[in-house]
Amino acid sequence: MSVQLEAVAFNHDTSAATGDALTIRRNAIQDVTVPEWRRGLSVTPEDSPAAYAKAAVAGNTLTIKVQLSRTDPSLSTIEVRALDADAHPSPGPGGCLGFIVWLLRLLVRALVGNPLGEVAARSITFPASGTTGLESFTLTGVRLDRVGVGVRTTRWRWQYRQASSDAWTDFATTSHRIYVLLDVPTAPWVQTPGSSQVPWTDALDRACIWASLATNRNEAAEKVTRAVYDLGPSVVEYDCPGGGSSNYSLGSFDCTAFVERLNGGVGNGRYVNCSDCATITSTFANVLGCDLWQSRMESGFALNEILAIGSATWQTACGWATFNYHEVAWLGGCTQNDPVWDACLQVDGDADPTTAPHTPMLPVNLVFGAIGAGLYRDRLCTPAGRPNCNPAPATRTRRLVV
Amino acid sequence: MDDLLILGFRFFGHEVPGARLERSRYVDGDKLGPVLRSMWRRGDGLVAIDVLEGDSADDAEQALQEVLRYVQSPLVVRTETEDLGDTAYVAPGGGGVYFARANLVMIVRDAGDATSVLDAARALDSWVTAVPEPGGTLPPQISRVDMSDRGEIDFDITDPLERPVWVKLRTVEARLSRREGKAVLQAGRPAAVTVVAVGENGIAVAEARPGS
Repeated sequence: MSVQLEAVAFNHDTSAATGDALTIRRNAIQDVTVPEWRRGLSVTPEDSPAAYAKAAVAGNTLTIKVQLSRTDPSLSTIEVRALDADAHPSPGPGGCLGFIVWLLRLLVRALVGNPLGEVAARSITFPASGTTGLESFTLTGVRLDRVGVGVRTTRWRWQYRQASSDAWTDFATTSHRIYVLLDVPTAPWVQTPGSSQVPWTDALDRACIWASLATNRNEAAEKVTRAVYDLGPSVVEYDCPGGGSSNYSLGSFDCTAFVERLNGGVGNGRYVNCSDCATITSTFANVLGCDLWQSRMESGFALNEILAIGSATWQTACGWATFNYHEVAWLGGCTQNDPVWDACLQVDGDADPTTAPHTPMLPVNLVFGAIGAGLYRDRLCTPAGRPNCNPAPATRTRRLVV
Repeated sequence: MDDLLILGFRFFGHEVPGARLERSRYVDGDKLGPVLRSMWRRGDGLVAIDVLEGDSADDAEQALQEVLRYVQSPLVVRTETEDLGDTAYVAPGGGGVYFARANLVMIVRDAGDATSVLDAARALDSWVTAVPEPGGTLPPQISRVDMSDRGEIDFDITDPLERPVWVKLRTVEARLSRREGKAVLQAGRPAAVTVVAVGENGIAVAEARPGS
């Protein structure tokens, strides 16, 4: 091939996320190197990850940067573009089978297909060295505004031609894992290059699937909360043996261990408490652009019967009559007027949460509420416990990810 | 009364009888400082042991109280009867043990099907407080131990294979703490300090005296 694709950079401007990808890393110890795609190194989509914040790029032109080289010294100036490889596939079978294949392709494209469109053609002149710098290319047909949260794959067929009358010649195919987020991730996540708090693809891999197709913050937070609660009892369960201690969120959020647990490893063990659940929920929601906190309610309050994470038995947590404290993912000022998302337990959602029969209700976007308002506080605590169960907004935090 | 100061505590894998060390690593505990986090396999069960290292016993006591702020059960209560730590709290059934010993906070808990972890906690506590004999197949070497007139204790300790070594300082009728990274003896009158270097394959012991 006379032309080679050397590199593709998605996050080429680390100072902004309005016209290019976000700054991300893989986990606590591994960076994502820019350019994300490099010839010879990037084979699978996972080798070339990029994340976009829908709200930040809305209405803007997106660009990538591309490095090319020539192996034919006679090539001076060429035109280069990239097509969506899945929108321009090789011809499939005809007839009924062809229709089914077409339908399946349509479905796959809608759910996980390319949101970045195509790379618009532009002219490139090779320098004497034969290798260009990173040249800016504009993306066309971008669909980020039409898709929800997700992990998607972009596959591009790279083509060149010398004269506008020439036919296009394929010279490379690349594939990229594209994370679609609602907005720029909020704390603890940052966009400071080199920081360990830059969004991790290890977290995005889960959060984007948990909140798949969500189009707004409340929907994403709800989906994450439900997904975390549903990790019980197969992956985690409430820490009855240890007395409800923090096993993933002591001081900081041991996201490394939690991801290991999600991936079938030991992690920090199977037990979690409310602080763990609040931290997991808010951290994974915030990496999608939500804006939740971890905050406590205090202290020493009697409980209604609940369904703790991983448990199928309605009881006060582990049979204890009270909680010393409880912690949830909380919005805004974390006051009684603000909603909570609690992945640690289900409360009774019926008219009388103090007695059986119980109607399971996962508290998602449920206002903490004043005593007697029939909201979160009344559903969690007994009438006698409610006066002791008060928001403690001074405890509002977003634990570091480690 | 004996006083202990532990510097650079770490696990070598033999500290919990009947359990195999699966993993041990430091994580950033933010305001709690570095946390030595370990996971042990005992039969079909898992035991998690976290260790926080403060600058003094008072520090450790404060850190223990901070850890307990994140325990939801009202049934995790202080125990006086378990002969464990300087201060110890135990969950009913022994699935969680939280104790301070010298400048260390130890959190020992059932991380899956381990049931009671009291025996593991006791073994760990004994390991920390033990007065060991020097020896072993490849013990660390203590080449220098100094104590300044102000009680600052300085030493050179190496492992023959350059592996990590942790240090236990012990004194009688005086207090030990760490100040600006250095061990310091606070004594009303001259006191000696025993320096114990604990390596993977042995133990070395030396003594520091004021003005040495």
